[in-house]
Amino acid sequence: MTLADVPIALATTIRWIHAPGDTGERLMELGLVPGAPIRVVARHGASHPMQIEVRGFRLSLRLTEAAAIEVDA
Amino acid sequence: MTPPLASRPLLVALAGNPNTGKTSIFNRLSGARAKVANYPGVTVERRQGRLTLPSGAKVALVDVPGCYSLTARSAEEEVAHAALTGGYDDPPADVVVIVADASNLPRNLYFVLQVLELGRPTVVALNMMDVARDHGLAIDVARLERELGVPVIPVVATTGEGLPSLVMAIESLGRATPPVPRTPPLLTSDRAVLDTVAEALRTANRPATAGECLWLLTSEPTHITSLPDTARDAIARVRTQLDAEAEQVGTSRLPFNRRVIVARYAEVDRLVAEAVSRTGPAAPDWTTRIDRVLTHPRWGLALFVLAMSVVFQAIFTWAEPLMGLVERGSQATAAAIGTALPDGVLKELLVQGLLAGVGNVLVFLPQILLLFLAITLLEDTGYMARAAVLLDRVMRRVGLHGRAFVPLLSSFACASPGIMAARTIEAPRDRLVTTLVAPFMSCSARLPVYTMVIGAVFASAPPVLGVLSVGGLVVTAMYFLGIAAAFGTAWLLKRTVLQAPTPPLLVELPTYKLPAPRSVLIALWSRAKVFVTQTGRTIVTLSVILWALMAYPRVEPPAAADAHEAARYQLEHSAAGTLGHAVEPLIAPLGFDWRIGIGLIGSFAAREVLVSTLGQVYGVGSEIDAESVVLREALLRDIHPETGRPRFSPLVGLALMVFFVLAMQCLATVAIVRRETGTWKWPLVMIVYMNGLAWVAALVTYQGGRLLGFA
Ligand SMILES: Nc1nc2c(ncn2[C@@H]2O[C@H](COP(=O)(O)OP(=O)(O)O)[C@@H](O)[C@H]2O)c(=O)[nH]1
Repeated sequence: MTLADVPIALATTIRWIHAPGDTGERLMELGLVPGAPIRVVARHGASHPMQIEVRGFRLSLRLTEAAAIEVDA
Repeated sequence: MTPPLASRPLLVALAGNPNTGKTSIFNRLSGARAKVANYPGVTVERRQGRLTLPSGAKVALVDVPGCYSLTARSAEEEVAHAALTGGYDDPPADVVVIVADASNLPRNLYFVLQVLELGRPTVVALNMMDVARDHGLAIDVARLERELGVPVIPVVATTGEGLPSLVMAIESLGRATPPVPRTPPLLTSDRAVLDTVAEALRTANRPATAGECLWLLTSEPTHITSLPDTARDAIARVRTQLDAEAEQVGTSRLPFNRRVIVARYAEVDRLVAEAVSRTGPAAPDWTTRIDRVLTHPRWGLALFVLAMSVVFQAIFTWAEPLMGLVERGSQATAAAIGTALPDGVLKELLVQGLLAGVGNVLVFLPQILLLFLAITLLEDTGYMARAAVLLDRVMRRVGLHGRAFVPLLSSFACASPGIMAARTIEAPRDRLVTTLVAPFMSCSARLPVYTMVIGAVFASAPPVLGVLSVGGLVVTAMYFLGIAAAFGTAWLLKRTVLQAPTPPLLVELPTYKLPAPRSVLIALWSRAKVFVTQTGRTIVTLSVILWALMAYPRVEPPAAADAHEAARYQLEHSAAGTLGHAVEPLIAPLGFDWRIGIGLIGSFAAREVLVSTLGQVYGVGSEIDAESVVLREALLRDIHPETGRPRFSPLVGLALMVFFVLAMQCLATVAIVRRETGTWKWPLVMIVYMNGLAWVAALVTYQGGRLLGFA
């Protein structure tokens, strides 16, 4: 399952970052590394960025980026 | 060679993640005496402050751009790294102060570990301790200190709590020997890779520590400067080898760069487990509740539009009394000089050149300060990040990042800080596109032009629907025209010469905070200072030059002329008049005559000069500003000989405003774009494109209006 499909409020864990190159490295430097707990705080449909909480802070990202983050089902 | 410590101030670099309170600590330590190099940016430009330690030693405090990583993948990270290790004509920092957000420790510790890899004398300022307490977090500072091997000082930047201890720590570190650089807990095979790099660099006569090797290996080669070619080649070889290895194992194993990140976070997790515990329940989570509304695609956007309207309304209405004050002040001064000095060149120079210029600088100050106040408040509360997310959908349509919104919004104040803020955009092509379109946003220098034109030709129009003034509507339309031009151009650029995929959006949403009044005031003060001294100098100089162009060569007026006609005769035959006549054929199709031509020439140095120029051109002297009734009347008095109506008709006014919305008339912006892009190519493209567009649009407005029967 990818982060793009995780329902609101469900706590899960990052399995792998599939985002290539620079984007992937930036995500990981923000703390989204395999094994990190993650939670979806808000989502506003397919065309708006969603909000997640990771390591105690909030991050907004688009669904295209979220789809490149694999999480535990 | 770096001069020895005793003969120069201690160089202290203040580094950290964005939104950690870096600016607040900087302001607390150095007060309002900060020196902003060139232009006020959003912590992007090099800001340097001074402070004196208890021992009497002098400190030069440098504010390093806030970033999440020191690995150089953008110009900003490169600058941040260089500020700590030396480069860009600076020696390495003698002491590094890392500002870390205690309420958000893991990600901040990642940055701390990266800095400790550099082996500079370091102290960690653990800021936002109050927020951490509210969140129910207890941090074992002594433990953290022991684990990190550097002093950790808990502080609260907004109240100043802990800052004396921070200063003491800086003092004692200034004399300390640098610590041993840390390295992340890497796999044995990855350590071997670092050893290979270190060995290769040694052979290339450029010895480096393990931490430095790690930085060189993981950073983008284009952002590594000052490295001998042999060393560069050695690193490239190791990198190729790593890439080949990654290719081979496929996606079953993380590539080298990511293994390093994972290793650092493993260390972070260990530190957090040892030093952070939860002592109580978290305070009510206001941020989530507020965000439910403010980041909602519909309600959030509606509130954003509302907030922006309030800001612009405030800028127009609240600034007015202050502008009136400035206006009366310069009139009184002009009158005083008028009675004190005998008639002559000196008096003319003082009143029409110098004083007109100074008045023109000061009259802007209220509007600029109000706009900067709004931007600073939006930044400091944490709302700006939400706005970037809200507008992402719109920005993405034209191929831009939500983050491009901040530079564009700042450009409503002035394109210069706006363009500096564009440095936060990582993708080079997107940064360039944002830089090139930012000048289309109606900056505050255009405001006096709009105000003047509206006062002259739209003020007496009856309100639409009983409440909305025509002037207000026209100004709003001008702002939207600028926005449309910016977005249209961005869309065009991203599809043609600057094709690139839309960059990812990763925006941190910091918890909402109450801005500290002191910090806000200091920000406003430093911006006002920069405006008055730097922009002001240009405007005053140009005013004097313009006066000279209009006063010389001296001609004898016809015998029968009264004072008014004599002044007009002088102007028409002056150097400026000749220039105005020379450009008239070019601008006549737009409805502009030679007098506006003179104003246009002057405004190519700085837009706001138009108002004082027209004041001088229409012979109403120095007591001129955008609101001036005298200039308004003078414009209306100037009857076209054929139509018998004022030459300066609403249609001409509209064409003039359209021209000003789109034209590139700002030397400061050209200079900044030259500096940011590193070539003359882009500023030249911008000048030709924007002015071409302005001419065509003004032509369409004027000729189109005439076809529709307006005069
Ligand atoms: N409660 C609290 N707020 C702080 C503290 N330090 C800074 N702030 C606030 O956090 C916001 C961001 O601070 P700023 O200095 O602009 O952060 P920067 O982006 O790192 O430069 C401002 O509204 C500050 O008033 C602190 O120690 N406690």
